[in-house]
Amino acid sequence: MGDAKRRAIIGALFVVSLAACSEPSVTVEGAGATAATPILDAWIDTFETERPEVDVIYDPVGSTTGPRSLLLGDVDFATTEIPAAAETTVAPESDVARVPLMLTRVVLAFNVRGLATLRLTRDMVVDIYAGRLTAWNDPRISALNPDVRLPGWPIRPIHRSDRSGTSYVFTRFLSASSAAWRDGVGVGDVVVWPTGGGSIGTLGMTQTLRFSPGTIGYLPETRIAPDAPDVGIVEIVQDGEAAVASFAETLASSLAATDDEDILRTDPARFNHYPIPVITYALFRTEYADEAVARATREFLLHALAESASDDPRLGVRGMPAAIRERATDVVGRIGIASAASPPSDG
Amino acid sequence: MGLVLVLVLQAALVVADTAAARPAEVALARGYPTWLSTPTFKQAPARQFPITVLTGLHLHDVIDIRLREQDFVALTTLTLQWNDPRLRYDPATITTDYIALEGDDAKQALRNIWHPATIFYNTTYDGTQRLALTVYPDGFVCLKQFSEVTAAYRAELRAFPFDRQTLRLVVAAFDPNNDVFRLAPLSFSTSPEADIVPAAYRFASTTSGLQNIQTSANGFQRTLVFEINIDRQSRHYILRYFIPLFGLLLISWTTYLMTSTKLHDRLKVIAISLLTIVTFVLYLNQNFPRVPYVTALGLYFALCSLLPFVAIVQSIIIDRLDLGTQMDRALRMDRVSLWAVPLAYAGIVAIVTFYALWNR
Repeated sequence: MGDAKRRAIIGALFVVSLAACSEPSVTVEGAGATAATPILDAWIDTFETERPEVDVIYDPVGSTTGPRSLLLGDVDFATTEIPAAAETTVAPESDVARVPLMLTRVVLAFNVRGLATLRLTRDMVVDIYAGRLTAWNDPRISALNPDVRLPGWPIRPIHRSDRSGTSYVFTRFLSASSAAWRDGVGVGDVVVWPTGGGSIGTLGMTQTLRFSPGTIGYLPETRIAPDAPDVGIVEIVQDGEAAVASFAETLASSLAATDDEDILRTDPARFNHYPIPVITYALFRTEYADEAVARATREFLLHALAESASDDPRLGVRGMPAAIRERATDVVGRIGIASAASPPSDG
Repeated sequence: MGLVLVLVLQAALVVADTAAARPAEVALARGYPTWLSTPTFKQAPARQFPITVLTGLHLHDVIDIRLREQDFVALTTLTLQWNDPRLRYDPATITTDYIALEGDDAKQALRNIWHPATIFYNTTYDGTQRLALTVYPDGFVCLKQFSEVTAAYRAELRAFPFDRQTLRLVVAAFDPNNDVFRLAPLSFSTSPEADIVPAAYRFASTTSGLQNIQTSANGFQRTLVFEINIDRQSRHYILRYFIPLFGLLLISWTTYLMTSTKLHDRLKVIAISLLTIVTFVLYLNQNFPRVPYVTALGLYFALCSLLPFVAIVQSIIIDRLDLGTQMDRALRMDRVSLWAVPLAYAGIVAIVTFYALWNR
């Protein structure tokens, strides 16, 4: 082996070892929905394994604060479960785009003597959160659950005190289930709750339910801790039958909606499915000043969309319909650089 | 007239200045809740079950870990969250999502409302430096206490300096009958910086959980235990303790290279190295707490101290030989010792390593 050849091999090995040892060269920062955190963390892990040169950081600041941070230029992408917030963000003159990123479900959970399930109707849920149904052994609840001996404890409905995308979808569910709720309390990431106690973040809701007997609350279905034997899940029944969620219908309504309020008035049944379907949107800029950030953001979001294609029971992700995902992939694929007309080339 | 006008203006400026410095009073002037300024809800709210107080801890930094004193100094933020429906207020009265109070305003508000009394159970010093109180319109309360605490810990040093230590912060409730409120874990987080512990240690992991502590013959107190697991950076101790001692042993080992007839010179060299080893060990022991068991480092010192004694015995045996007729035997003994002593040292290192791993 000649000297030149040997030097070339050593040089190549040196470059390879440097690349292997190097720190991530580009950082992508995201912020938004707290409920999406474990899912995004898992997707970030798989993405960073494939692309070690990219460091993706996600800050669960909430579905309202995340989009604001994006507009202020503090982060590179945001997530939210509130389509209205996303619509406001995506003003016609804005360079911010929105695509559905993941599909999940929210359930009602409760803590009553370790019961695993409890049957309630939508009206009962509305009445609990309105303060009209106040005891666990109320005859209405007992009639639906004849095999269960319920205690005379007060029902303690727990809600989110902070701005929350999960609160948004839950109040939309309550509004779809009751015109009185819709016209009285309404839909929002934060509302004036007629009764009940508060919590902050999905973790706060999870821990409050876990350690407070007599409570009921709403949270992503996968966030019920496996080591919380006292927490059960509410089953919604209507006319004696279990309500079967039509995920596709709600999805279509949410994606087409520019104003949920209109749908709630004209066709509230679109939003009263249970477990409550949730679409988490990704918001991002269509053009970035930095080419490396543009490329890394685009690739991470494409990776996330690829992950969202199929059901993942571990993370509570429901497979996104192919047509919707393809449209989203197309929009994400057009992320470009502020000074250039075409998207950054690969590699 | 002019003087009166000046006095009135001064009084107005004082009032304005006071209001600017005391947001709670400004808030009250706007029609905020009365509990901001007057003792209103000192007693715990009515309840069927004890009030759940979610308790979280954020560890900013472990500033110091003192081995001899068996304590550590940490910067922490303790978060307490609970519901008090009596504190509900109309959100239309404020322009933000919640009322946030800091410093003296937070202290003033806490004098006026019920709040869970908690303490770091195992601290010898608790310097709570700042308070931040947030009250949401629905009566949800979040209290953050920023503190510098000095807490005791029981060092487990059998594997020292290859040991793993657990630093504990125990949060206990001041609730003698355990019927007013109950602590429940919220979260235990650390600052993202990797070096939140002193340089001689490496941060490993954190755990947290509920634990009942027996406080009397029949009484238990519910506590929340936050544990920080750290590994000792053993390289530091290898450089500081193991290698110098190895050097001293090397000096006594050189006696096997000296002429067999020079007993006096041999003993001098061995005695010097032995005395230096003893001084070195005595000096190092000053930095360690007295423990009723053998540490890996102590075992290393003890076994290494035997090697110079072996050299003394061997030199005396050679001296007793008749070097006129038994010179070959004396030389053979030196030759054997030349490789047997390093072999014994390797054995000592193996024993110490096994002992450290066994007790880690």
